[in-house]
Amino acid sequence: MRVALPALVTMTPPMRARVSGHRAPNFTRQLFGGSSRLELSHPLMKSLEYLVPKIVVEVMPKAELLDPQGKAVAASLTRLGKSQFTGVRIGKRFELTVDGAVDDAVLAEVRQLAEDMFSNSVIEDVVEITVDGATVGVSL
Amino acid sequence: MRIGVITFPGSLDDRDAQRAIRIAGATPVALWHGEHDLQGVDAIVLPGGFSYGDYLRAGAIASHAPIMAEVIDAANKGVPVLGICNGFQMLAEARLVPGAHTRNSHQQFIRRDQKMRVENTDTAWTNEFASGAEIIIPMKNADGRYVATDETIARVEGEGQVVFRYLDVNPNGSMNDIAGVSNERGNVVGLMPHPEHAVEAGFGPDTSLAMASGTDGLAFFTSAIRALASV
Repeated sequence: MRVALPALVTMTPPMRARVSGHRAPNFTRQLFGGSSRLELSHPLMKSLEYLVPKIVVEVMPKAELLDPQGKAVAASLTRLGKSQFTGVRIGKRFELTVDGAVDDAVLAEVRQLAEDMFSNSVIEDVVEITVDGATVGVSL
Repeated sequence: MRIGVITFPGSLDDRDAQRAIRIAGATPVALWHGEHDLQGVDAIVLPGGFSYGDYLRAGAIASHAPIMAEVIDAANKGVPVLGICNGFQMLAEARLVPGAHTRNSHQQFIRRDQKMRVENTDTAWTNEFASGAEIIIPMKNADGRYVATDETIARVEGEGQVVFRYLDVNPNGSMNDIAGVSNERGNVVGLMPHPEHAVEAGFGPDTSLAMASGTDGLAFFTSAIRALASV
């Protein structure tokens, strides 16, 4: 089955799932046989992954703690003569995709996971949580 | 006396811990991370290794394993729990002991026979040591740097929860040379060095007396047996 993908691509902005949470756009469901569930295994969906809401959680080591990884990279930059960079810190980025709507319950779950599992508050801070690029906060 | 040793995916020293328990005179019980069953053991050892390849943070994923619900429950009821190396990291991630671990400050994996002082002999895992005893225990880790907030450090120092302190060399940049800590009650103890590798002459760390003759780790396990016998 071949679909004119460029036509879909040009429709990106209005199709993006929002924080308030729709599912996939209606016509996408029609495309894949009226299922209300996005079939990620479908080859076409490989091109449509951007339609699935993406939640991003970013975690950084606490500023006051030594970051040995960042320090190692910074030392390498110095060896390369790139002395304009005075520091490097390395954190983690978690990308979560959701089967269904990103509603308040899902976001609450993500915030909880960010605090309880993705980060360790003794040594790290959750610095940002976004849904499709829109910041939805970091506090519980 | 039955002491359980939990095997996680990536555990390395579970069999060594079982052997140490046997040499100390108790019965080792193999437990599995994926079950909700402690099989009625009297004490629990979380062994060393690299559970889940140290993904996320060392010990972090294992601290959410099914059996950890029972471990946390048992720990809060006073059951002796010892976390060794990766097990110590799990205890910290599960918030059963204060603090956390980061990569060694020198960024390298280390392996050495480490001298430590036993700072607290009132815990379930150290009551057979003489107060202030200096012991040699092998250690081997990459993420062994013990860190905590200044308030936490002050609290654990003040409350006697620093159970072991590195001597001569701080091998990983741990705050206050802390090698191991306990919970407030003293039934849960975690440390980076591996007492289970120092329980039988001929297979332990070198001492001034003879090669591989160190057995300073044995008292950890006999301490637990004694603590259980006195309950």
